[in-house]
Amino acid sequence: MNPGVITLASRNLQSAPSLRSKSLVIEDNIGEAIHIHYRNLRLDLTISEFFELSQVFADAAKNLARQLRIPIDEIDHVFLMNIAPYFGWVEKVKERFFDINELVIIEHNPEGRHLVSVSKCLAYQYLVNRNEQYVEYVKQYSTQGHSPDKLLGLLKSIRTNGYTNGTKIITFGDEPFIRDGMHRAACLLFLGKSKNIPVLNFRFKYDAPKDWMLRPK
Amino acid sequence: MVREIDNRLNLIKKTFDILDEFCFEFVLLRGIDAIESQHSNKDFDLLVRPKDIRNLEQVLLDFGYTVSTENNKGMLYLYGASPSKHFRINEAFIHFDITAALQYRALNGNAIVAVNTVLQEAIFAEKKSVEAVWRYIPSPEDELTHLCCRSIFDHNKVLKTHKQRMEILRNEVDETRLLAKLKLIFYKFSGTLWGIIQENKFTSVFDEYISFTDY
Repeated sequence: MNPGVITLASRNLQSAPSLRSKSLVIEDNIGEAIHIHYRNLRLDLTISEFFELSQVFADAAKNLARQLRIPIDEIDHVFLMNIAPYFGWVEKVKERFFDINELVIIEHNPEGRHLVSVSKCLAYQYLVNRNEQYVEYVKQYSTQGHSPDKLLGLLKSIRTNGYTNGTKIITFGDEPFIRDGMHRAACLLFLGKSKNIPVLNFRFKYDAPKDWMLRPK
Repeated sequence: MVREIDNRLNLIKKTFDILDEFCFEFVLLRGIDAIESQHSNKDFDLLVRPKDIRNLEQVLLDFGYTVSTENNKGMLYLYGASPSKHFRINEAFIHFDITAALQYRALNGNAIVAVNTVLQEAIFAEKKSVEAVWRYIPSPEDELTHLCCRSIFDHNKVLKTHKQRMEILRNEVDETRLLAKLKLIFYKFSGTLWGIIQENKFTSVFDEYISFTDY
């Protein structure tokens, strides 16, 4: 704690700015600058400054994850972002072993979502017979940039490098639902590697919000 | 046949005459070959002032044109951009694509963006008067800037016809004036872009642009 602090400026702020209060957008304005729009604030950065800032955030995330004992390197970054609000309620993250056929996929449809086995999910069906329904599905529902090409690339990667070298399938609590890793599961089943698959299982504290449960007890 | 061609050219000439009579400012961005061709399915791109578009539409309707507005479902029009209007006399193969701003497709695909207002004004202020039916064309610097934008933003490549025209224009432009205009759209890429044009590396323009990192 530094006693030698001089306040240069101070003002009470609104709790939520009136302009774009829910917005976070990061843009590459080619030739000009990287813009980070956070609510009604805009940061202009050069590319190297942006990479430097990104690294600062990445290091902070790793340090936080280490303290919380979350194996951040085994979790997809987009999924990590989605699960970040629950970090404070994570009791432990443990590796468990499953048969792929024990796991259940959560697929979306216009009515909401439905639960299917890995062998019936659209990603697996695409690998087996290039089912066009998968193409339309990812266009409509994917938030992680999935595509048929990426799926085939993932298949090639798992075939070449194995499954355990990358991010893992994730489940929550005692539920069999795949929260992240549907495509990995489909690839593993397609490759005939369905037994004894290591899965990252998140266990939440008793007082955690129950909205993570698909089937509340 | 000769009479049909004569009629077509006459109709086009009369159209430009009327635009002038009504004091609408306009610049022909593209389509000289389509105007001169006997039977062409290509349209002529005309830029007009936003304040004139409504009156101009009525004038051309009265003249005998049909009009339709570009229908790009889901497209956002930003910073003064708007859907272009298509004026046709189908039986004479006449098709004007009239827009009220210099505007191009954003790289994210779902927006049309009007460019810097300095360029919007300059293209009118610096237009060249020509002894031809179409009367006004952009300055070489404005035309080359426009073709760069069309290539990079609208087409993601340099079309053969654009390449041919850019090869001519690069010898006509004043480099300082051109770079000042390119900078308003391409920022620090403008110098690289001019180098690509001078060195005939047209096939690499789009890849060089999206992979540019020196900023």
